[in-house]
Amino acid sequence: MVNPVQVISRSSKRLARLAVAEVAAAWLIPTLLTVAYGLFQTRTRNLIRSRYGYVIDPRHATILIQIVLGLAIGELTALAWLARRAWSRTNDFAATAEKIDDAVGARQEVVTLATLAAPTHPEHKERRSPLFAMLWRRVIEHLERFNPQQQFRFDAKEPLWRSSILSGVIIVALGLATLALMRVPSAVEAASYSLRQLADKIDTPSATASDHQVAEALRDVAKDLESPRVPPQQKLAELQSIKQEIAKIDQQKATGENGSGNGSGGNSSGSGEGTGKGTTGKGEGKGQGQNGAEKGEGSGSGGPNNGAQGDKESIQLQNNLAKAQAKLEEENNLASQSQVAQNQGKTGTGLVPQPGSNPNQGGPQSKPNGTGNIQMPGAGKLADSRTPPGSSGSSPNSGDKGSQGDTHLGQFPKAGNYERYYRLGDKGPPIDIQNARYVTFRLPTSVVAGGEASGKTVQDAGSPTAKTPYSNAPLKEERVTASPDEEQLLPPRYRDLIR
Amino acid sequence: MGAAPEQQQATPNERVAEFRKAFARAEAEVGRVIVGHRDIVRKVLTALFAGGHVLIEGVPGLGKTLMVKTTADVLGLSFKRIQFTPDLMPSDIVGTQVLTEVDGRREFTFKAGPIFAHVVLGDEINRATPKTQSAVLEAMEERQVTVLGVTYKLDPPFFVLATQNPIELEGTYPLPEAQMDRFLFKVVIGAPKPDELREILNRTTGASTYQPQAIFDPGSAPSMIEHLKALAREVMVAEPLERYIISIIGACTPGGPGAIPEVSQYLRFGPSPRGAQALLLGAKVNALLDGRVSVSYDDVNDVIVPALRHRLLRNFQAEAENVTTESIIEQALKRHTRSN
Repeated sequence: MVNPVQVISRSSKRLARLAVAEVAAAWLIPTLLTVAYGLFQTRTRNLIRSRYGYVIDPRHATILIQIVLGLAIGELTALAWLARRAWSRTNDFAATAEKIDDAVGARQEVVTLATLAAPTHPEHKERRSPLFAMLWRRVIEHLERFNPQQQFRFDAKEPLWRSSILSGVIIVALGLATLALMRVPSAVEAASYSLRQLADKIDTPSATASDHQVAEALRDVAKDLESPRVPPQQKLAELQSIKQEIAKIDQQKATGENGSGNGSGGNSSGSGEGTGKGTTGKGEGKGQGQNGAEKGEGSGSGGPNNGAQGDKESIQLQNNLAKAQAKLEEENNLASQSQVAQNQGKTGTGLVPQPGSNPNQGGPQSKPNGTGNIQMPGAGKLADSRTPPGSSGSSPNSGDKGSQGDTHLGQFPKAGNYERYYRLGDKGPPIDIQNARYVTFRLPTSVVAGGEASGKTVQDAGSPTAKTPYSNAPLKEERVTASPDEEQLLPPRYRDLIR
Repeated sequence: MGAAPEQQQATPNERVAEFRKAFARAEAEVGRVIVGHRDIVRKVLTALFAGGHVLIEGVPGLGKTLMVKTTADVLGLSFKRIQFTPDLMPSDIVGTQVLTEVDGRREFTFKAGPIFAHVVLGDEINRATPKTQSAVLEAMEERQVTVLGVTYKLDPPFFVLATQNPIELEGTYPLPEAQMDRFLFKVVIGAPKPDELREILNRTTGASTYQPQAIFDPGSAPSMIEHLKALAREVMVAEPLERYIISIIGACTPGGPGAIPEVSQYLRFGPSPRGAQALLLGAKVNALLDGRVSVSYDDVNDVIVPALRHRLLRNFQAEAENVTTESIIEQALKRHTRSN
């Protein structure tokens, strides 16, 4: 025998569960989306950095994560509140009875019975008339074939539609926030990122202990470079030392790539010439004895080869490090100047800049005695006052393969560690130059044809070779063709702004 | 038909079946005399079993009086007809004390007026003066009359069917709004359709006319009707239905909760609580007629127009623009779903 009150109660519970499920379906996906964005924010930043070259400031990223987490908490709170409200609204005895009425076509007989037999309103029993028994029987007849599970089913269409709208809004909002926070990385950040990349590259599972140490050192330097607490001087020092490390690594790589060969020719001493293939990392050598009778052959093995890609990355790294160094030097100079000024302001007895000692003033300066003995700068001293330490021969920079230095700072750029000498018909990997303001190049050694129609090129040792690198070759036409009225070096702090 | 005491012993199903049977027979008998107007007849009988009075509006010659008289005959009730005229006095309706000689002594005795009947037809009630009208309307509400300080109860069932002519308004006294409110329903009789008119001609111009049969035993009719009226009041109603009726009343009341724009624009006053009572009572009878013992939304919607049309007082703008109360009610119903 069907008990109408029990059926209505069961249906009410089911409708409440369905309502909660619909709310959850509508809100869960946007909430998960928000949480996922917060959790994978670091990866997103890395992806943006590696794919598009933009960075998000860590402080902004932290604020964004906090906002996103707050949003997620808000969404979860809203979900809980809406679910609770949906439960309380749908878990209504009379309202459920009305739905059952509509489902079975009972013309409000079920809801009338629910009104008069609601467990939550026992006082309504007094309103029952002598006809209530008839109503009870009629409702039982209506409910005999009624099954709440079949009648009230979860319809995902509507909540998913709402969910998609909500998700779209959240995605757009988070995407716009990310776009708004994205910016071009500074020189120091670029260098730090390059160092980390190099560290990751070195720090492979098969790497040796020393490699691990180098990788850790690279990471430490990268971390210090990004840290605002580390003073620029320390950063500079770390940068210098790590550049030396990198130079060593590059040298080792170069050694491995350029195969070496030894030859022995009998009991006579011989000299050998080695040729190496960068793509295989192997070298082979041939030796010719002095007596001409003996020939020797040797083979050498090179280090791991990364081909053109390795060269490109190495150049990029060198470039980034040089820029970072310039930037840090600039900061260091500013910091020292402000420190001097501060000291002067404090004591009132500080040194007044003497005429002729202004490091920012180019050219000859008058002496304080007013005798007019203006000293013309000697050769090589023109820009000494602005020459960074790395530019001098005794600086740690002297051994690098190419610093991509900046002429603004008096650092004459050096060519990169690659030579694009190919025989006629050979094609090497393309040079991918991006965001470069200057390209430093050097004319290659003159080559002459080895023989008529032989197609072989050999080095022409007799002809003069170009040894001076040339730079400041504009990559594209200047926007303003008219010559400026006044030529002035671009202050370093504007370097990143003006391209 | 059985007697009322037997009805008390019957089961609810039997009582409901008895009601439906009596109603159907009455409807059929009246329908054998009155051609067409089946809905009007049903509304009249509904009002009778709901315990209310009916105001019938229609031009002369449409069978209003015949319908009322036939209804009384079918139900086996006493019937009186009062033709309202401007010189009709209240005493002409309720009765008066007359000086009579009994056993050589003169004394005042009460001579009951035509109001003392089960079914009273107030023909062209708007032609009497307000003073006379109020005498009838007081009897309708109180179901008693007071003459010279003595109160006389009217025998139940007391059922007034008043007619009024919508034309020839000269020399008439339109019923005051407060008194219109005392009619449960107001039904409007329209002109018969051609085939109905042909049937009317056949029935009324022949040699013989049909005499309706009473559906109740002559002596038990009043008690039977009272019992069926009580049964109608036992019909149950759910809370959502009560809220629905209340919201309908609010929607038709200017300034009321959920009032539609047309109501605010064209009405001076909305329905009183009597309107809500009329809705529910009419709906209960409708439920019984459908074999149910609980009210449905359809039952309410079926009686909204006759129960409310005379309770909505139009303003001048509505009259000027010929906006009827029926159209306003229909607008309210369209925009007012049960979910409201």
